[in-house]
Amino acid sequence: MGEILREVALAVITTAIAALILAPTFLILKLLLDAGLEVIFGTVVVFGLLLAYLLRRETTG
Amino acid sequence: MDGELLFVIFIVAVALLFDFFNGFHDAANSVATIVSTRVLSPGQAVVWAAFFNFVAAFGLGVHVANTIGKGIVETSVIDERVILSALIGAIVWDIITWRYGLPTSSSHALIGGLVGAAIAAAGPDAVITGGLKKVSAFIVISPMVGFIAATFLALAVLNIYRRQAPSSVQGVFRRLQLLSAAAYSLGHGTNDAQKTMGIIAVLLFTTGHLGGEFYVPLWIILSAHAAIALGTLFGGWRIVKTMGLRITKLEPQDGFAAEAASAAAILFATQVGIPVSTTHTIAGGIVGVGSTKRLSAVRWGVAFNIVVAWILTIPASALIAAGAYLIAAEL
Repeated sequence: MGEILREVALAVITTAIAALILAPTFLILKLLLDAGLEVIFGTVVVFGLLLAYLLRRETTG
Repeated sequence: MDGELLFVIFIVAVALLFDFFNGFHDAANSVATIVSTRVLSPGQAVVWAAFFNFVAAFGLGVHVANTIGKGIVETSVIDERVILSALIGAIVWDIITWRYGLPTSSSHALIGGLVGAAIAAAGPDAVITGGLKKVSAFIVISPMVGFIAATFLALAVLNIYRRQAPSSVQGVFRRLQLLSAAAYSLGHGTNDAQKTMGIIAVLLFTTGHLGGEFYVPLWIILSAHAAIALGTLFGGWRIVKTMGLRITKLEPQDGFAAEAASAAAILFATQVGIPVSTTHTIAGGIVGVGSTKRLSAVRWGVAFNIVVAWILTIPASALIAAGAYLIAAEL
């Protein structure tokens, strides 16, 4: 019983954190799109490449 | 019943068949992660995905259908032959890529087909440059957003569950993945079915069967969602292996992050009326979760082949559709 309750609590926390990450992403994308297609394209591509570079640096070896 | 109306009905049937095969070809992506992480069996997973593909008919709007119908090519150049050629271009390209097991985008094949047929019919001015530019930009933006959001979600999950026993983590994410797969299937259903809706609605509008104003009638919405849901139900899960296993190895928590992130990216695009590839987006999400472990965990050779097929999709389907239009114009 205790194990199930713990799993349910973890699932609720995870869902809340996912919402905390995804809802602002949604809003930021809308703002970027409103600013122009070039703005959203440039921002997303640069951020994505930067993230890939950081992941590569942190996970190598 | 006159011959012209029969021809229109035939093209509507072909469009719904394309939608069915879109489900067959693309919707496997909805269940790829949930099957490869063994949360559901392939049979259970396709029923789950098909149900949410259909439910997406209610309450998510028709912005993408409006873009396809009147935002990519000028409606004044559209007639039965243009729509049929567009569908032929998309279907032929889908068959070619399906033959080689490449999970390319049926959506972009349809857009390429529409552009190619319209150019063959009326020249380059038939294309609405702004609309095509937006769709083209989102070929890159949607998988990139899937990648970024999935990376952040995967990192958050890694930190939250750092001190938990692996069995406990699996237990939680086996349940959560049911939710994320449902959200992804909703996104997939609404964005992809709306492309067919747009094609059928603009066909009816330009042939005078829809009245003076462009809109998407309820019967088209329900038919398109039923067709894609049936397509999901009837197969396509051979591509599950490509998406779920060939790009990187997935655990239930990875599947959750990839699906939830991709669902958010697709629902965003749907709300702003942009047709995106659900295949591209989930692939971006899967690469994102794979990258948080090791970039070398991602099988870049497979990912590269997929990207090449993506880049070729719009021009190739446009060329096939233009060829089909020129042949039809001679008949």
